[in-house]
Amino acid sequence: MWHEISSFISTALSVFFCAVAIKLSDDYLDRAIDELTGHKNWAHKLGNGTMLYAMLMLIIAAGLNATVSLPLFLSSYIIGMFHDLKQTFPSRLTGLQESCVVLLIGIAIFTWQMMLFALLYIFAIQLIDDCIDYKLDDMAGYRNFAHKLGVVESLLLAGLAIISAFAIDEASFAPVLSGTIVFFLGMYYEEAL
Amino acid sequence: MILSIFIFIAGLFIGYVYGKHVGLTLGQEKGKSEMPLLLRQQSLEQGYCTLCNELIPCINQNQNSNNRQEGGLDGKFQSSS
Repeated sequence: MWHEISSFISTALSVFFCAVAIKLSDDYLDRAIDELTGHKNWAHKLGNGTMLYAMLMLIIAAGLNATVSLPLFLSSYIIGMFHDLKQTFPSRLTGLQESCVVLLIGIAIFTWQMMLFALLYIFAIQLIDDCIDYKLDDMAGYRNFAHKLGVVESLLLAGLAIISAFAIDEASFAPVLSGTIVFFLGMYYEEAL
Repeated sequence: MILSIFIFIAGLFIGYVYGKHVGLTLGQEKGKSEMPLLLRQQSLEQGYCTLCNELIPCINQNQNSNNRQEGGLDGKFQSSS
């Protein structure tokens, strides 16, 4: 019994730290846009150390549960590339090629089930987050998934992705969802302060 | 259970996307058919073209011909009465 509880908590915490790592990386990349729109993100508070803190958080997440947190991080990298599929990156690869390489690495290191679970889960979270940020991104002149697909379509697709993720890995779903909920509650609490 | 929820949401999604597409197509067709009439009505009421703000001879000609037609009809009615 205790083993199950500790496993649940460690996985949830691992997802929480992974989410913090993703948030910090994203804030660091978007710091210029957020500065233009007058929105203060974590990169403005932490400065140049933002990426180091992100790495630290990812190491903690990997230490707690690598098989869940690292596929989630790789999936967020792949999903994040969806907006820049044709853009060429410093690796001389386009966004689509980089996404494929990262996906193959993920499948090779972790199982394809875990990568598919993580991809569907992150895609669902991204769609829901885009619906929440609909007005904010509209003001910044950035077209997210909610603008491209529509709000109702995005929410229904998110529902389909969540159910598919649940069907693929029922055991990991509850702790992953708990970790995500804790992260989002913390984020909105921090924004409300 | 999961499969039935998945099918339900998939049905909602497909239905919504198809309905939205059909609605947009119908709306565009309706708009295309109504817009020229609306523009013409506004132009005739204002006495100048709504699009370019200029007095267009064709509108005036149409107005004149309409007036003549009305006059003609009046004339007919007058003659018949």
